[in-house]
Amino acid sequence: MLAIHISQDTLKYAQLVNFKGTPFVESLGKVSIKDGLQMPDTANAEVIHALSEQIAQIRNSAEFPDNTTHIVIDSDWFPVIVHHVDGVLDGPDRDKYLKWRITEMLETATSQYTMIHQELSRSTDDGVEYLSVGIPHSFDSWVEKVFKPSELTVKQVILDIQAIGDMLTASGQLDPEGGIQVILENRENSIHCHIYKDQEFKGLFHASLNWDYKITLDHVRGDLKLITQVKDAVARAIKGKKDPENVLTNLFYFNSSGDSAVLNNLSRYENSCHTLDLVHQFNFRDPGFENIDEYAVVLGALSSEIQERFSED
Amino acid sequence: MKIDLLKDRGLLAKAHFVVTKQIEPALSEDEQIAETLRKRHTVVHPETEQATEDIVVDTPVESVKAPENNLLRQLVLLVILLAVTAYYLHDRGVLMPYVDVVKGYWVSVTGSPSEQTESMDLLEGSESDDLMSDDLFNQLMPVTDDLAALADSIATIPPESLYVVQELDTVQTNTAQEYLPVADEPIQLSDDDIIIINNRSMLLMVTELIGDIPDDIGTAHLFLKRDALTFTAIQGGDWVAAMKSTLDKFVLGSFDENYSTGNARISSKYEIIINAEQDFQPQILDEMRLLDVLAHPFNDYLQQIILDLPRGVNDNPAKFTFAGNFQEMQYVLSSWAETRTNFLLRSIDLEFQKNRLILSFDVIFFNYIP
Repeated sequence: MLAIHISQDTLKYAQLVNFKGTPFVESLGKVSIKDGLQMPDTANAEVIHALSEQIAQIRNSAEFPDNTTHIVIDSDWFPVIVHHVDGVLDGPDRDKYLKWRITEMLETATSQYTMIHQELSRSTDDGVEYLSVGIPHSFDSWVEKVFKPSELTVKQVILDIQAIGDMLTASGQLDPEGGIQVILENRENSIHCHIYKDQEFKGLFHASLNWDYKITLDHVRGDLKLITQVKDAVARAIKGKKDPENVLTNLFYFNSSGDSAVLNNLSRYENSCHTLDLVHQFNFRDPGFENIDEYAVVLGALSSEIQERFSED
Repeated sequence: MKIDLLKDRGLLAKAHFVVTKQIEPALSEDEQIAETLRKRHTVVHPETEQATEDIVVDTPVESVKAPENNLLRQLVLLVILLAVTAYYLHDRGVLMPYVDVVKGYWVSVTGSPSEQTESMDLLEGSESDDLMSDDLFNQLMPVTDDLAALADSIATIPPESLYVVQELDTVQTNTAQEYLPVADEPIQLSDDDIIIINNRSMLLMVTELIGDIPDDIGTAHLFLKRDALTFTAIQGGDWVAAMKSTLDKFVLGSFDENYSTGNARISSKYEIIINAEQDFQPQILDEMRLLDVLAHPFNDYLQQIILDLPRGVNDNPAKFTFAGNFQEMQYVLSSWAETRTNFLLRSIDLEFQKNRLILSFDVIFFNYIP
């Protein structure tokens, strides 16, 4: 079983094998995407062709090529919104409200998308929190075009948000007490942070990182107040400044394409700040593989597969 | 949450992230063989062996005996060591001076001579303040006519003259000092260490110099390099003496005052006194971290940075300019001094403008070689 994470500039993959009844991650890897991807550019034949070639190469490079794959797509490729719905709204009223919210967000483009509204949390005081995602109508055919040449059957397509949550759960790191947990990916001159609280996704932000480690928010989804709080806490951690009012239960970090020096202070920061340490959370054929944490998303995607196939054992 | 972007549409109920059992990493056959071989080839330390025995053995007697044996062995070794040391010192003829040193130390700590010292003083009739009883004295030294005459003549001598023998004490003290052990090892410093240490001295010196200058100095200018400084002001004052006193603490060199032009001009050529700390430890940073340490905390005062970032710390010249009042610039200077980072401070330029200071650093980021 493969898991492939398609992001704007790289394809990361992992292969899961059943080794005498034990799930082993047979291989990990990544390839760069030339010129980057701009979603939802699902009609660009050139991009589809280039992607399908690279995916076929990934599949064929394995010692025992797989026929099935999980796919992970970054959430910033789709219109995504995290919003509250009043608890008193139910049935048709709630549907009407959700439709109105999406229309507000997408304006005239609503006809091009099919909506998914996932309930995140429910409480008597705050009502219901939803994550709404707009899926372009052309998305299904795009997936088919990209994966058909490599003869891979797509088992499921999930968002990076879900893959990271699955990874935290599978590795036993999702806080059962419901504290604020942040997964920070260090990219080139930017950081991507996913925020989880009460064992559920709460928000995300992408931010530019200045030379003096000043953080500027570029892309935000979720509760802005919480995100601002988290951004400030992350900024202090990156600068190595002690924070007596630290709100973060965990700050997990890993480096993908960024300058690893940015993370120097994090490695010396408070106990709540540490790497995902996935090398000890999954079985790897080659545990010495460099920077395994970088593959958190694909490993998260494989977690459901491990759950499904191996949990009874 | 749980969404399949291909299959799911519309409203989805709450779903938890995947819940799996904690996966116990299982070893492959090859890895199991390798692990077994590793365990077999691992050197077993005696302590580990002992610890294992302690756990396995039911009766605690044996596990208690072991520390006793060790203690006895250590005691015997200590006695042998002391005997060998004493013999060696005696053989070299330096045992007695060491005994004197210990005796002197004992007296200084306790404030009174030891019992042994007291009895020796009594027998030798030396400097002890306690007087011998008359009976004992008469037994040891029967009074003859000559002695009686001598005692009379001593009684006529002024008491101060009896303390001339102080010289003897001095000699003894000097002899004792000769044998005092010198334990401190010299601190090993590289050229780069000395650069960083001297940076600190320069920065602390300028911090103190600013404190010497009165707030109402008016327009003035201080420029200093690693081997010289000049300071010009409209007029002199008490601060000149204070400045000299500060310089004397940090540097060795000349100090010239010149008032011929109507203004005060102070100049000095010097060598910085290396003030190495015993546990000196430089902090080696890349260019980004250097900027973070040298500029970021002082954003409120920062005016300008000139730096070629892509050059990193490879002999990369950099200029920093800050502005603020006296206390703020002293804060910047002393903070820089505490960084102990890998830059060479080429010069410091300070412009005094009424109550405001413009502080410029000319530095080079360098690759540290320990």
